[in-house]
Amino acid sequence: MKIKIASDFSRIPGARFPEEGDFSGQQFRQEILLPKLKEAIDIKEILEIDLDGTAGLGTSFLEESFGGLIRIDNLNYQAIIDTIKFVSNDDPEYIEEINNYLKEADEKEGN
Amino acid sequence: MRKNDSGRKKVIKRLAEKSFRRKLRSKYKKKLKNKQLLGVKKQQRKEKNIKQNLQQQFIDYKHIKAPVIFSLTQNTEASLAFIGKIEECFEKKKKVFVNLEKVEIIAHGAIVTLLSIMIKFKANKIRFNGNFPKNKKAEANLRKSGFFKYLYENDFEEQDEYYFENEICTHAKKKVDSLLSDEIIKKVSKFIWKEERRCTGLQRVFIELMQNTNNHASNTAKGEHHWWATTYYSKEDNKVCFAFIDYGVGILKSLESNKEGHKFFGVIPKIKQLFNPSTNAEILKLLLNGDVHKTATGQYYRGKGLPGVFDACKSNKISNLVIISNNAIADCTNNKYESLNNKLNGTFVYWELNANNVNIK
Repeated sequence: MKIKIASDFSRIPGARFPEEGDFSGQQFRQEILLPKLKEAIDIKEILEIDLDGTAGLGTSFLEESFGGLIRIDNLNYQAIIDTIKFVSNDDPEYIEEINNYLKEADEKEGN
Repeated sequence: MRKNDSGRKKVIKRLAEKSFRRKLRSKYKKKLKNKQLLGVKKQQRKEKNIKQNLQQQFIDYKHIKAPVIFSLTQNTEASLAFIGKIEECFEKKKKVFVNLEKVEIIAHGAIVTLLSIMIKFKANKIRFNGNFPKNKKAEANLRKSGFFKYLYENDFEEQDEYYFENEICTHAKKKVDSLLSDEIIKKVSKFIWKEERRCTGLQRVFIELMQNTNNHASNTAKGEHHWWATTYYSKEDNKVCFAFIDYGVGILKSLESNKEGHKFFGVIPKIKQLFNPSTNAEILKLLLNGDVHKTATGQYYRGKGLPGVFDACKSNKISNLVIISNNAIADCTNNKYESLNNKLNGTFVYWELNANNVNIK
């Protein structure tokens, strides 16, 4: 299974919430990431998330998209990292950043 | 008939006397004026006359002189003092005449600051006027900015967006607009590398700053204030200079909320307890490093915007980042953090993009 943010969601992802501007992290998580991730967890398949090809990703977009999986959707940290595989050739730092958001959310929310 | 004739004569006499007295007064005033101008060169006389005319024409305006170098990065204190005086008039709803006559250097960030102030005055129906710098280059820069597009508009109505496309390109909005920043990046990359390239770090900087304004510029509501962004293409140095400003409460001031229930209630005492900073400059440094939100706000997942902007500079995705907020300035490239005597009611950010910054073909 695969999600390419640039083609499956938007080439120009925006802020955290829809009221702040278009193509928000919340919208991405609710409409694309969460359904696919749940499906991947259920059928025990790897979900590849391709971060390449966008104009750039904001911190709030990434935090809301991925940290929100634990904070809002109450998903299990281990289940997420066992299922998701990132591709980020444009900016390899995004992967470490997302992993930090996931870890931080797990530590604070403790699902 | 006779009675009427003598009456008319009396009136004529009275009028003639009145006219004579007026002439005498005028002659005396002229004499006095000439006396004052004795020994003054022709050019200086001309200047004095212009000045007097302006004073008379805008007699009920508060005249505020701009500094010779009007730049928030090169002449921070004097420029902030100037902006502060204008802001003070805005608060008191006083008409303002901005005297730019002596300005020799006007930076693009300063122009966008002036532009946003002018719009604030116009939107609140407070009269705002000014003159041109005598310096030709400074005058040309001001004209190129689109400053005059709205200055002389009488039936001005506040809008959610403003747009000035010129050599100096300025946009103002209230929301995060990632499409707009993408368009700007396409243009600036074409200017620097002669082809469109992606600058993911620069896109992040724009998103973070726009979101910061949308979220934190007001202590009461989201999306209350405009952000203003300007882009200037420097052909000589093959670089693009950016300036971003919002007239919100400012980053540091927004942390000072003492209203219970507010997102930043009690943050400052916590910061003081944890880090013991002695100045606002030190707090700004902590904010840029991401220490404040991680530990003091109780909202671990927020406050990553400014550290994101700072990281973009550290990893060479942008250059020469300078941030001014309230009474503190951060020169991120040179790792200099200073407190200021004058303050800005809001946040000003300057940075550059050049051919050596990280980009994707």
